Amino acid sequence: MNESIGNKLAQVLDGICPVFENEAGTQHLPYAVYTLDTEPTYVKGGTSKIAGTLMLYIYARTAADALAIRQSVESAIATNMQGGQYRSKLRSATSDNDDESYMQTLEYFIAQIA
Amino acid sequence: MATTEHTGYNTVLKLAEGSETKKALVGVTSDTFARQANVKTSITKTDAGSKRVKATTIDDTFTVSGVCGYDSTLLSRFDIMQLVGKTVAFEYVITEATAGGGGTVSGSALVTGYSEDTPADPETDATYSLNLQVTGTPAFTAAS
Repeated sequence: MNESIGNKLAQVLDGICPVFENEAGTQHLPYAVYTLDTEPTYVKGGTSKIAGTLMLYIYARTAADALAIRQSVESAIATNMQGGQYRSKLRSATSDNDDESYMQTLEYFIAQIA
Repeated sequence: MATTEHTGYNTVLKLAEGSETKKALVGVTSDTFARQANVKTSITKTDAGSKRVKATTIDDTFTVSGVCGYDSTLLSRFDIMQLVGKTVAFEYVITEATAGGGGTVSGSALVTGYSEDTPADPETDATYSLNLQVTGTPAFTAAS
């Protein structure tokens, strides 16, 4: 089993805002960056599961924009990555801001089942 | 000549009741095969202080750890939990590509215990553990 959580995430979040893995490919707000920290579970016969932590960082020009994107992201993940080949559970959500942007940080448990 | 290391995933325990086809167990993360000789020690005056040691019997046991699940081609959770107290045929198959590395240990075993752990934490899998005691002397067949 090949890890496909990142590809699935990009597909699920398509249309909400641009999404990048590990590092933003733009400075144009809004956008999101995700990081994955996963480990496989090996069973005799192959890999049964890849599971770990998904961190999603949402950057927007206003607090309202950041919150709206966060709600869309949460809804999209809950709808499309819960059941079937993927499992997800929101562990925490936090808000922050600096001089240039408003941020929403989401931490998920994420799993891909064989 | 270099030593060939064996990988754990190439060693698979298969079980069957009666004349059924032997099947591997679902979700096995690890299994342990242990051989323990029961030792009798004695000493007499004529041994001049050196104890005599000999093996009387050998206990062969298997312990299987796995993730609970279902697969129609494997022994699944409900199949496995119902094996307790039954004598099953087993094959412990060592499959290694290198010539001389493989082989099969086979025989019959009593399933002595089953336990499973089903935590409420959604991030944790339900897991099981199975214990078997080999009955009789297992056959060791090296792959040709």
